[in-house]
Amino acid sequence: MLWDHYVFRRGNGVHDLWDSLLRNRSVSLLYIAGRGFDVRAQTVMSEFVTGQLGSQRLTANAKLLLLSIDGYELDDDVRQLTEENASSLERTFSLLGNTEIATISAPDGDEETSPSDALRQRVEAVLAEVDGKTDIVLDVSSLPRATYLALLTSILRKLVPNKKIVPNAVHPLYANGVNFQVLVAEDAKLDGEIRAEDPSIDLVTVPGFVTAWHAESVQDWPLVWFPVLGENRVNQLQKVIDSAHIPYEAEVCPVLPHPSKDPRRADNLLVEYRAPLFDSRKTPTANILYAHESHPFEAYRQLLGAMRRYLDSMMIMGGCRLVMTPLGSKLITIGAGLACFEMRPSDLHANYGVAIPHAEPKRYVVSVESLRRSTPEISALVLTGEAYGSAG
Amino acid sequence: MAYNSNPFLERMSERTTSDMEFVRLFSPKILEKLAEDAFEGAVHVFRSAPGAGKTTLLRAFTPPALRAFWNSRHRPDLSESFRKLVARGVLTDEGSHQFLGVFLSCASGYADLPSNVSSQQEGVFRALLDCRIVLRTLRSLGALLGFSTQEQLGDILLGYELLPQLQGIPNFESALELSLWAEEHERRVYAQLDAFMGPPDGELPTHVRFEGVLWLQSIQFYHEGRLIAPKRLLMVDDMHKLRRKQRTMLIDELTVMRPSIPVWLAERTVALGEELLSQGAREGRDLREYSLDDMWTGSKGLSQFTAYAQNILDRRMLSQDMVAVTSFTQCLRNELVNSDARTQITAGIRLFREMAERHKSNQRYIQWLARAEQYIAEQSIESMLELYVTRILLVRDESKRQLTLEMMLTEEELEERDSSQLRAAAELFMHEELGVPYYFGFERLCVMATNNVEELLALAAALYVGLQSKQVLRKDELILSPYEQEKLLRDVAAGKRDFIPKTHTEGTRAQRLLDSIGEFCYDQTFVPNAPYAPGVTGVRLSRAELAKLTAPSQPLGPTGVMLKRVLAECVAENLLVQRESQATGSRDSGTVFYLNRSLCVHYGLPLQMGGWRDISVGELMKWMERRLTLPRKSLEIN
Repeated sequence: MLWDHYVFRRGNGVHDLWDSLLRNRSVSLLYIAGRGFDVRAQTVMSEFVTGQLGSQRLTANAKLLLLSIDGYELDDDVRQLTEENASSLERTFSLLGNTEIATISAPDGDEETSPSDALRQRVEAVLAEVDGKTDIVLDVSSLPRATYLALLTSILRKLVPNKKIVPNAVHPLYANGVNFQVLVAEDAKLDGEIRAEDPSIDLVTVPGFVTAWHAESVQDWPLVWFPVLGENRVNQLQKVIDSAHIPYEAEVCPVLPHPSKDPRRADNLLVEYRAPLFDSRKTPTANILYAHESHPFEAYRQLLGAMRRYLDSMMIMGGCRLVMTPLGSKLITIGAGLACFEMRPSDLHANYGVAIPHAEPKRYVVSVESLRRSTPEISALVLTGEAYGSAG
Repeated sequence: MAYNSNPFLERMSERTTSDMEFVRLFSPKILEKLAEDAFEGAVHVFRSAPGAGKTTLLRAFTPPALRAFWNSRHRPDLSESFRKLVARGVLTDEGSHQFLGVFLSCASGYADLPSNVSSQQEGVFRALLDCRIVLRTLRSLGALLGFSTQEQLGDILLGYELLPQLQGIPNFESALELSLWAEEHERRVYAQLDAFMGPPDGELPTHVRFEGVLWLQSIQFYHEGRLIAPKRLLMVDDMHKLRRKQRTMLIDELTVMRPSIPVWLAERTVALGEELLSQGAREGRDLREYSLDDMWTGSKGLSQFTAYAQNILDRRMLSQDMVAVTSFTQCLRNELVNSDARTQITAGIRLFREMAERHKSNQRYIQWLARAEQYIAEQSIESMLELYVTRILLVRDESKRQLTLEMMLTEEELEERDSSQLRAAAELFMHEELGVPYYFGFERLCVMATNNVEELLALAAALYVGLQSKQVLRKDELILSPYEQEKLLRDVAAGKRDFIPKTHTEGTRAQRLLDSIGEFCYDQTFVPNAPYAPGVTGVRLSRAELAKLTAPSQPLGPTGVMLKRVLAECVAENLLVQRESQATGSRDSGTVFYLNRSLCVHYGLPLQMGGWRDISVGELMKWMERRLTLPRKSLEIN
């Protein structure tokens, strides 16, 4: 397990973490954020920038890469909020460095770029900026799920090309000392209030996790599906089912948020997903996995453990496909992403594979009041770098 | 492992049910509708809205399904499918080794190939499809022969006597070697796509033509010295998942290739995109197109679809054991009973009396009103319907009276003016005004499905839940009354309407447009004299209006472009049903967009097609952006 020991802080602990991580050294920073409507990104950036401007902090150079994702249908007030949010982010970051806006239009029906291809191009644009940086910050607060999962896993693949832990050698997560941290402004209640509608006809497959989903040669392998459930995403789950890639004999293991601030949250989700998961397929309830709502490494452990167990059992059948669909809140999704990264085989001829299909919505519906009222808690996950500098 | 709980919620399409289950649920009626020439060497394009049964049809010709059909040939309930497949030359009494169906789906990432290297991308697309045709063919061959491991493919030898020289597919002696080559070839493509930070070892493989089809039509397979699977069928599903360029290239190049085996391409109507609104025929000897949606239209369409639907639903009913009934149709009561509607009959009589009050002293209507009194005395559903017919005819006559002489109207005239459309309107008015059920009975259930199996199953699933409840509550009679049926079906219809934004790409606009059309049709239908009996369920765009929408110069601006897209998507997704209307002396030809019949249930409209009103593109654009709201009128004349 790569993150057997991990660095995760939330609330006030995040500042202590930044202090110990960034103090008394020259920082070459790449800060990646979304140019979206979610104002929680402002909270995260303002906290980070304030800290970095403090004493004993030295910024050699800093760049904000603001990913603009067009093509979404938003109400006028939410669209206006997106603009305000972007201006505020640029203004806040200007105290540290420049901003570059990376625009890739979301394709519509007539275009020659599929959503997955557009996502691949987006990731390529980000990866081109990674070289030479000492610190990479990925703020997922206002990024769509598929985008931040793709960025998370592909940056990790670039920084950690070899995942094998060798005793008495440098831990793979040291990654030449490049500190890669993921910041999240989490408010699970608000995540549940953001309604995703008009799902795209085409599924997005997260780049790097395509083979197990599409390759004809692996279609006869048994499939284990881990849908990570979240509120108001039944239609997206249905799109994945309708894609006919989930065969009738698939093992379906829904991942539910539990423990949670709302102790009934998992129950409510079971009711919400009753029709596609339990009425039409009668998924055994013993297959349900529980992951801590606000502890991504706990979700990572749960999912990774389950994936390994299924892999062990299924190898006797000649191979196995592990499929994860991210519909849950941000922290759980990140944990699930880490598990997928670790499980993804590096060998071309491995007889198993991991896939992350997702149905991206084209319209988000959310009350501006709810967004403004949100009081998120900031969480920071340090995934690579000096924190893992000792031998494994 | 999952187990189905509501048999009507299970989709039969690719891989979602086991082969044996598939064969058990498969309705052979669809085979009757398959064109005679569908097995001739040519490119055959099957097109329909989602859920019309394309994938189910294709799957029936795959080796595992054919083996299952053959194995169950002696079972009385399944032998019909076997006989029909024998008649088509797909199976024989001796075995199933003559025919090889190769099934591929285009939902396998072709559209995700990198678009920024366009020239190379076409070659990669061909190369990927070619190696998948080879791989799926060889695996299908294994399934045909009942092999349990890939290694057994080593027993199949390949003969190249008839095969032209191919550049992209190597000549190996055994099927196993070729299968391993195809796997490796595909993995190399995906390894490079998955790496995406730059190809790790050189270029992606590319092909200059679709050699897989040439290979499949000419290669010979030998097993234990015998030639096997001489008849071939290539089935490519989900063509709508390809990029527009890929799809055009595939159809064009395959057509030019003039394949000697049948190549079936299946796609959703949505693949036509905005062409849907201005489609022209491009059929020829080597390209044949079939619409599964139109399969059930025509004079006998409804009765054939009803038989097909009954077959499907009864098979599913047999596959469950929770409800102790074996036939679905037995569970639906087809007629209303007077005792169910006592209150409504009393209310209807009161309304009729109020309306007739002002005609009481009019000599012209004396006979009609006398007859109405007889109906009132009967106090039955049938007599109530007669009262509504009389009421509509009274209103119609009253509105024309200025032009006629004040002569007494006889009972014969009442009967002459009566018609099936008028009775249908009267029934609908009864439903609207009194709440007497209208949406019930097996035949209407089939109409509500709008010729779509998936919609039929969704409606049946809800009715099945009603039956389950009755079983759980230990009710004596496991039959759903008209009231119960209507309630359940209206809930499904409301759900369908509510889910439009969640399930369609331009769903929010589509929902506003459909709501507005529904509102407009309601307003036109519920007029006291029922001028368009039984009612209006569609809107028509004349040729001139359509020209504005489809003009390349886009004279209507971005809203017009969006309307075109929304209309095309609604048609493709079966939310609107498109029918051409011919020119007459007084009006131009055009296209009628009828509402999906389940949506008609939601908007309280009749289920018959036929009634439509002309509309302008400008109005539709307004409706798409802002939902039309009209005041609800009373059916009574003030």
